[in-house]
Amino acid sequence: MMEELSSGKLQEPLIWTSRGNLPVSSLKREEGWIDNEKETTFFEQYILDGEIVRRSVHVFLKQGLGLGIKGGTFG
Amino acid sequence: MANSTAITTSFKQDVLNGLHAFGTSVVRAGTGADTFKAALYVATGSQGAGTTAYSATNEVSGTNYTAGGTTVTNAVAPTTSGTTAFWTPSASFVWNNVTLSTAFDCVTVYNSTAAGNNSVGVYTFGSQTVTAGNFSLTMPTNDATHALIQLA
Repeated sequence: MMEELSSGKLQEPLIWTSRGNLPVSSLKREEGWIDNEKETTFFEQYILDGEIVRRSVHVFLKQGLGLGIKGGTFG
Repeated sequence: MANSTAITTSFKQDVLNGLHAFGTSVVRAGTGADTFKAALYVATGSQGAGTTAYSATNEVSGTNYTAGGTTVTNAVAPTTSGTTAFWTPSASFVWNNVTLSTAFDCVTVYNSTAAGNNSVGVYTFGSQTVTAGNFSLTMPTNDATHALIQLA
C-alpha cells in the first residue's frame, strides 16, 4: 500500500458506487436540500454518463406524532 | 387550589412504560424495555393509522436492506414535561451502503418483542431512492412538542 501511495498509483480518490469503486473525478456530483415543516433533507448523488451510481439521503424529522388523551366527565 | 378533571400526566408516562392494562389480552414478554424496530415502505404502500403490525408487504427491498428493518436505539426512558408524556429514540435510524431503487417515503416503528410485532407509529417524508449509499433518519428533538411520540 505504501509503495503504491509513494508511486502515485493511489493518489486518485475513489468512491464506492453501483459500478464498484470509481475515481471521484470521473463522476458528476450533485447535492440538494428539501426543507419544509416536516423535515430537512439533504441528498448527495454521483452521476456517471447520466446514470446515478451513488446516492445518499439524510432526513431530519422535525416533528413526531402527538396523541391527545382525554378523560370523560360525569353528567 | 381546586380540584380539576384531568387524565394524569403520570398515567400518560405509565402508558408509554406499559404499566396499565384495562383489557385482559395483553401478555407482556418481560419486565424490561421492549425492542422496537423501524422498517421502510415504498411510496405506493398503504401504511397509516390502520396499520396494526409490521408487515413485509410493500416494505422496501434491496442490497444490504434486511427485511424487518433496523433496531431502534432506546436509551432514554419516556418522560414528561408539563402535562405531556413523550419518548424519542436516542439515535438516528441508519441504513449504510444500501440500494433501494423503488421510491420509499415512510418508516413504520413497531414492537418486535411483542408476539404480533404490534405497530407504534408511521412517519412519512419526501419520497427518496438510494443507490450504493447511506440513508439516515435523524430523530426530532426529544421534548413535549417535537418528540417522536407525544401523549398530550
